[in-house]
Amino acid sequence: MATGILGIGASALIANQQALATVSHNIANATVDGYSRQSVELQARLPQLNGGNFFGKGVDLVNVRRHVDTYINEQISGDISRQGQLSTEQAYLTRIDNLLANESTGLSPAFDRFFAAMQDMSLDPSSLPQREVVLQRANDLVQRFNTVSQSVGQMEREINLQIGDQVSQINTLATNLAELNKSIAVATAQGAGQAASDLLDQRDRLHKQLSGLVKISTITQSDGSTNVFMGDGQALVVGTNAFSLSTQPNSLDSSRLDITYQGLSGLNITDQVTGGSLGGLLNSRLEVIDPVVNQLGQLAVALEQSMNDQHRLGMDLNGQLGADLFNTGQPIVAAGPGNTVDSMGVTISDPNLLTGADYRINVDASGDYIATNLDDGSAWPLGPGPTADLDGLTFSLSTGSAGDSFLVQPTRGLASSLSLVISDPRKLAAASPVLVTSDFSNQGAVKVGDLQVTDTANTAFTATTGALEPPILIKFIDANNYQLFDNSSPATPVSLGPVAAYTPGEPLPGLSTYGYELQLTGDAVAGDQLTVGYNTSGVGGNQNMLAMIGLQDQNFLSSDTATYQESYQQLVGGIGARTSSGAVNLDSVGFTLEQAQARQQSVAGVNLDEEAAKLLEFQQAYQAAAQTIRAADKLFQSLLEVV
Amino acid sequence: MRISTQQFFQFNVNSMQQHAASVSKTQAQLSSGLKLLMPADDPNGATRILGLEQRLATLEQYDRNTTQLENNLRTEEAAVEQIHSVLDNARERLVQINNGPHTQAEHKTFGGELAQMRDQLRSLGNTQNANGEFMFAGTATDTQPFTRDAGSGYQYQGNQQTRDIPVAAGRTIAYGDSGFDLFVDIFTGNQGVTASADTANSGDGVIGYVGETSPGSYFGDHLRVVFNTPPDTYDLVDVATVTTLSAGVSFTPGDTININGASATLDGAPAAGDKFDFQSSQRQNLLTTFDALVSELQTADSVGVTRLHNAINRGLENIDAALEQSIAVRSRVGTRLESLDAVRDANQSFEISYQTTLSEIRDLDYNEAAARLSAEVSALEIAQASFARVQNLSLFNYL
Repeated sequence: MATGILGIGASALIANQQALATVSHNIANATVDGYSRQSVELQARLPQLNGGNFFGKGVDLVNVRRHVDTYINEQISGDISRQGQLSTEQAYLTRIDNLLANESTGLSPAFDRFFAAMQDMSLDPSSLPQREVVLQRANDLVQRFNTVSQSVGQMEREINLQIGDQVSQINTLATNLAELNKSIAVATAQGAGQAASDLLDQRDRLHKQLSGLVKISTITQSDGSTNVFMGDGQALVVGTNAFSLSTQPNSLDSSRLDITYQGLSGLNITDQVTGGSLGGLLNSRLEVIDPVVNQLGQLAVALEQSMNDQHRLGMDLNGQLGADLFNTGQPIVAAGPGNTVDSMGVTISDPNLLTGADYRINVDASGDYIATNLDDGSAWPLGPGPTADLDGLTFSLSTGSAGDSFLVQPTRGLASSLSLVISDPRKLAAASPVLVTSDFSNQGAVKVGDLQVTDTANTAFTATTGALEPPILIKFIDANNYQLFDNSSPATPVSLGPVAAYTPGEPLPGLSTYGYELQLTGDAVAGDQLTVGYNTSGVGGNQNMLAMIGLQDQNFLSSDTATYQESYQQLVGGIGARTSSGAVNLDSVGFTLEQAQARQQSVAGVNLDEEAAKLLEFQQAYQAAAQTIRAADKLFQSLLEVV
Repeated sequence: MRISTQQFFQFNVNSMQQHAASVSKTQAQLSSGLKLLMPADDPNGATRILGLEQRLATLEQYDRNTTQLENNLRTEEAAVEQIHSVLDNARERLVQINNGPHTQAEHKTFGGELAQMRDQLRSLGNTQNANGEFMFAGTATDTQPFTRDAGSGYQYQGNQQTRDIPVAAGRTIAYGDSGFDLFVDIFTGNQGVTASADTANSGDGVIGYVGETSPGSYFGDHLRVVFNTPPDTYDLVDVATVTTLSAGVSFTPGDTININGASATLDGAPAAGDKFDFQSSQRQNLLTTFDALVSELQTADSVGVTRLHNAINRGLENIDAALEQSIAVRSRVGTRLESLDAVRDANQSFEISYQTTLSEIRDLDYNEAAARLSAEVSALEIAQASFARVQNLSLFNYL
């Protein structure tokens, strides 16, 4: 009897002591991040049959239960991954947005000032100080292109560094997880199926850290260890083995890092790494930074080609035809490893049609070239050659072997390589190189309506510098008909064609072969003459400068729908919209994460008041159990006194 | 629902952080006066701002262009006015001289005066503007427009191009007029037909101004009046085809000669064989006209007053044409100045409209922001105060 009571009392003492230990463990770990509270399960011992009745035998502590909701934990991991990815992307988006839209770094104010300088110059084209200002502002514009593009390039280098950092962090976490798996497996074996709660908490914490870096999925094995897979199913931790990641330069573009496994350098798993801040870095690179650099390059080449084309149609202060004003580089072409042909000629023939995408060119088994647009994945066969045109690019196809590949980045480097070619202010071509003069002795009122120079590469301009070959004489036979003459020897003009009908306001058809279009207006009288020659002394003219100013409002981009600044505004607007929606998404995932964390805390978190109450409960139970032992002792003492 | 202790604190901390962030943002807005602190705050707005700033920059530029253009036009106006007044003086003098009689010495003096006026006109034609450009040389602004060559007399060295200046979207206004318009694009006679006395005439016939004819009615014809012996009849001859169109037309001094719709009064007594030509008008450089008059005046007596009178009549016709031309040029300049005013007004109202839109997007509404700030500050204070009240509630305090 006494042993019964003693035994029961002792079991209660022990059970309550253990319960108190658990409660104080909870209290001690109340502020530990990721700690799941533990509660005890007490169970009555099996009763014993004695004299026809079942008597209880006390209490046992059968389980220290860890309160955790694995479903919520998975949700939290997923939210942490998304948050990691979105916040990384948002950081880069915000930086680029500020760079592009800011007063002091953006391109739009530089464009405004460049065109303003040209307008000032159009009022006084022969003024050297005014010309200096135009060159200065042109240089400012070029510098802005360079600086913006270099700043964005700086971000790419940062991304590479961060990729390296995060890959080593992932490796460390993976190694730790593998170690933990080993400990947990051992502990689970020892605990006969019971899990070691605190080890499990630790592993959960590591999982959460890891999901901040990359999206993971976990599968728990029967021995308690957990396998971790990354992104789209790449193994990271399997049992007690951790697979380490490493980085290597991309085979076609050595300035960027790819992700691979250590020791397996041929395997590029970059595309399979998604989610988390590492996924965010890779996304930023691919979807934010590359397109921005490409579009800036597109703007640079559109500016260069259109300005140069117009500038060449003018005449500078030295009476010479205008030369190129700006220069950019050429598309970047990288040959794949193991190519038989190590280069391929690519030029930009029409910036208006560029899409801003990069292209991969492959040579297939039959020696045909196929171009793949890397933005949307569409494939375009390039035909037999020797050249092929696609999206504003001209490819020169030489004989390559099957398996050759090239990476073509048409506009990637053009914004940083944009430069101003002219440094001598006299060389700005503001005037028109063609002068039309009505003869002094004309009786009629026929004069120039409009004169447009269209092609100074025409032999009329190039045969002799500083002169038109041939100089033209327009002679009116009568009020309605004229004839064109070669006026090289004014004493003996040579007819250039038949008599033609005069339509005021219409360009004279015979003259467009010489690279300019001339419209005459006014009434003519028989015998009236006009001469067309080189505008040698007309250096105060501003016709070409007006035309260059007019380029600001012409559409050179996006298939004839956008001016330079509109295209830039579209770029800024696009980034701005993404930044703004990125902020909203980041807020929303932050909110979801908070909610999930609150739910997890309500299951697994320690509430000190609750623990305090439990402390009292078990304390009282312990004291009561101590009393039963005292009572048992008293019984024994009474028995001893009787004897 | 169960709230863990950690969650309890976390929730309060989050809440206070959020309020603090709002307060901080509103404060930044108030101290900078901008609603848009970063482009991402309002991406559509940021893009529109770029567009509006571009348009405002262009309008500012048009303003500058308009001002400079106006300065140049006023300089031109002043020069043309001076030219007009010189021409007026010259006309007066010439009419005086024509009404004679004067001595040879007086003629020489008049010659000197006219020479001075000619030089004055030439220097006005060679006016340079504030930038050192020749104003009346067309676009050949480095070249002096009016030069004198011993062999060929006065030449216009400039060209006929003008410079256009953009003053509003799609609108340009010419910067000036060329010297061609001013001095060279002037026809002799009545700008259709010119009548002249042959310099070899020995008689006293002075042919007056040609009356009104319709333009274009006389082109190409060269008709001549030849006086017969005795000089009371004349023949009308077509010089080009050498045919006599009418013969023996009777004549008395003071008669009007009518040819092909052109008419001129012939005063004085022509001698037999005297010729008077009627031709279509040609352009004549005004300075050349003056030159011719000056040399006639210098040699007047030795070749007779008749020739002088004929020369002066021709000269006056040309000067009248020049006066008309200077008025025309002046009114062109005046029209441009008026257009500039209208353009300036229009540009200004665009500017105001763009500025307003820009301000709406970018600038802060102080009243709204101040109210918002005080609401957010009290929300923060309340969060902090309520946290202070509940944070020390714990069962352990009572054990």
